Amino acid sequence: MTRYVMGRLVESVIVLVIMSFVIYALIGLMPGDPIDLMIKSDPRLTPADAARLRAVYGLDKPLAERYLHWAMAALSGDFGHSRLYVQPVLDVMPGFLLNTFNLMGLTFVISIVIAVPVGVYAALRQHSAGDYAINLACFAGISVPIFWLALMLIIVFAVLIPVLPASGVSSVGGGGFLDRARHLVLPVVTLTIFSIGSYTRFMRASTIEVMRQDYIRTAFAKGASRNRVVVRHALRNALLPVVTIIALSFGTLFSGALITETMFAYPGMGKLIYDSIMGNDFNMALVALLFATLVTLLANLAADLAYAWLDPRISYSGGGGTPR
Amino acid sequence: MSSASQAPHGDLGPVLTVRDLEVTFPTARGPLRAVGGISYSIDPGRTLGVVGESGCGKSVSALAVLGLVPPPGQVTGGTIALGTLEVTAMDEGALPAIRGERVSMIFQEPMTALNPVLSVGQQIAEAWALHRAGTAADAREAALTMLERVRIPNPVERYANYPHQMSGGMRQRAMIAMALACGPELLIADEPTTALDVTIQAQIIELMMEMQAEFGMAIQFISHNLGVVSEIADDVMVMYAGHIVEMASTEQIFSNPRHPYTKALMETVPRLGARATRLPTIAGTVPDLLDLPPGCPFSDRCPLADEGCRQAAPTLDDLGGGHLAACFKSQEDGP
Repeated sequence: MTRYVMGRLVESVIVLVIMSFVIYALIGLMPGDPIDLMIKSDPRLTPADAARLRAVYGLDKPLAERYLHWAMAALSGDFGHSRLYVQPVLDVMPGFLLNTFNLMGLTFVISIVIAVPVGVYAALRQHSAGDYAINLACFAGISVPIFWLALMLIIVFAVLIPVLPASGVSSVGGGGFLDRARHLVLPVVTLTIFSIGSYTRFMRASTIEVMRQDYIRTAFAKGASRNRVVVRHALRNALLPVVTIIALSFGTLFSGALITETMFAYPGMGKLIYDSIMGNDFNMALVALLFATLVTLLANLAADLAYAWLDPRISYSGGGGTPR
Repeated sequence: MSSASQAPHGDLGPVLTVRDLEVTFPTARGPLRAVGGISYSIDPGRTLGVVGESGCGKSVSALAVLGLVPPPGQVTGGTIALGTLEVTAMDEGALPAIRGERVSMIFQEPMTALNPVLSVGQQIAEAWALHRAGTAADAREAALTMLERVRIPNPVERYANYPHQMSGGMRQRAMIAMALACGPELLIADEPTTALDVTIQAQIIELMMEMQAEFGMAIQFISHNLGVVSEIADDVMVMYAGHIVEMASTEQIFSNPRHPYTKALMETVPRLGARATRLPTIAGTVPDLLDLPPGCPFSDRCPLADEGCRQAAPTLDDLGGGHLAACFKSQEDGP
């Protein structure tokens, strides 16, 4: 097991190195660089000045050479400065990361806590009025455009009935726990409505499938009550496919939710990545994207480990999984 | 209910009494009667073999005994009684108390019939704990005892095994251990050996007979395999299209089958030494249960059928010596 995890971590590092080059190359291939921006903002700069500036920043060198230079610096812990925030990128990120963690983590937990029991409920009462109502709500949540949903929530709860703040992470001069929590409500509700539908649908489908299995009939035949059959025999089996989906979506948590963060002027990772790409802040965009890659890789590993924990048929240590 | 069933269970009355049982599935084309009014009983410690082709209603009628007819099917007529307890009159919520306690069931596929994420020991212990008061340690002890009684070597080690770590025969042994954990009066075995290798089949049959000697339970043994049934059953009931067509002691049925369907079934069994180039089959196909012939359900495949057979359905009558058959032709012949 430890060997398996170590192997996977080594793989992850290799993927990360490759991805760093790919992201670096893609950013390098983007039209425009910081010097273009400088020229636009200062008409007195001549092409000769621009060329000299490019030489100073090393932007005239070939991509591979620039990448190696960046990689060597990164290995020694220097990920460069952010052009927009005028700070080392590693100092900029934690604030955004924490905001995103609060927003997405909360959304994630609330979605699962609601989706799992609701999905099971709908599955057990398939084709009932309650099941249809839940399905309808799920499809509504999946199909509604998220920017529209955010706007409606802002109009209703921040404008018509001004009970909640419409944007930001805290009030000016405020910043107490309650104040920050109040600022989280609308973005969290928006994202929860958006993500809960698919989790519920997956849980419902998976439970319906499991309830048809022979071992469920066996459990009934030995005298287990309906509740016991569901909780002890069906739930764990039904969770298996859902765990994969949940763990994979966990990876997207840290790349943030661009539209929602923008609508609520919420400074999270999605907004950071977007702003740094639009502002030609190469160093910032590179590190933020790499971090998102790293989290996705780790989430995949976590999904596989969770799978092994839930399903005894899956074993990574070898031996245990083979019939004797 | 017969007067014999006034006796407390475990006494002289039958363990299971089924009267005019009817199970119906609503379909888009109208109600489908999977079981069309069958009556039979099983005495304590006896084994009834139930034989028939797929779709003849043998599994559904067995599931009805546990109140486990898969929805949307339901029991639409008749009564089922375990001893004096009328199962068909019981509340849905009261059924779990008798399942596994008074009547147990084992199934065809020992692989899929066991929960893949729980250890085999846990599943047997659960069967015990559902009906017996005791600690988790007591349940574990009971499960270990059961594993030993079904001749599974190294019970302690096997207790922790998951189904996928066991062979098919071993899993079926575990299923039997689970079914017998509370010592039921009746064990229903639905094709328990069909999915197993022939050598393992023989072992499981032998085990079931040993268990019957030890625990004294009655067995309703469902199979499409006449050879297997002849080994284990005291009595045999042949079903066709939701009806019983013949019922008699195993010896009577095998030495003197009276219903043309039973005879045809026996001819399809390959015999050692017989050098037939082609195995005989029963002409035609199982009738559509939604579109049964008006008379005898077997009339359109029966070599003996005449106009009378196509007009009226024969009743299941005693041809003498407790040998029942539902066929005008065999009734004409006399015993």
